Amino acid sequence: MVLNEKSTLYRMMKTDIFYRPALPTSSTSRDCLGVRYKHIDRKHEYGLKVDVYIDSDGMVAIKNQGMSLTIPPKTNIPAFMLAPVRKLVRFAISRSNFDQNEHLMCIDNGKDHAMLVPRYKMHIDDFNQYLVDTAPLWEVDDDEHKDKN
Amino acid sequence: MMNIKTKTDYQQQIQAILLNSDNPHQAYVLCNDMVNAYGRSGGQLAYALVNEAFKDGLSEDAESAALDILEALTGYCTDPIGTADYHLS
Repeated sequence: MVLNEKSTLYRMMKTDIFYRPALPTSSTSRDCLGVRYKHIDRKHEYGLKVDVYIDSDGMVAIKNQGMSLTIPPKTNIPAFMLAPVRKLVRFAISRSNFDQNEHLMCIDNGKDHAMLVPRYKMHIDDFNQYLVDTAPLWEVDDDEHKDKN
Repeated sequence: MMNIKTKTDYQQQIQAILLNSDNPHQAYVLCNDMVNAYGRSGGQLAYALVNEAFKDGLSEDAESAALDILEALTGYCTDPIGTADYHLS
């Protein structure tokens, strides 16, 4: 499938051995198909930055927090994500996948940054599962790795 | 006399924290202070200096702290620093 750049969103992610997006293995997994999270009471702790805060019931605590995406052009991707040492691969997905998605929606929160966020009040495990469920929708968009998945 | 810090001062401070401190996350506070003190130019300088330190190679803890800061300066986490778009010119 050829993605239209205007409707495309990018995310730099680690991959599995089949060049599919790596799935998170813990609440702090970075650069995977999922969000990092911690309890909102730990917001002001040093270190351990996350994508989403949760409440004591494990529910996503703040509206419109979610998984980061880059809006085209590709030059909007921060340089530190492109450093070879990171071994991240550029994946692309079409925005239109989320127009009718029951659980997730895509919001822009800047000229270069968008997010996949819960469409309704949601438990963190469900949120991460719905993100994992999008795995087949992501395409490798990295020139070096394009033909490997 | 008011003490105005230069780019070199900040560079030395960031490197000292990331390379030698037991708590490399202190660099986050310094970068936040740079944005509070100098606005966009402070944020762009913080981004450039932490990016440079990251590229030069860091210990595992310091690398994780540097990535936290870079994500906060660019909007790729939930606690952004300032306008969190300091990678854009």
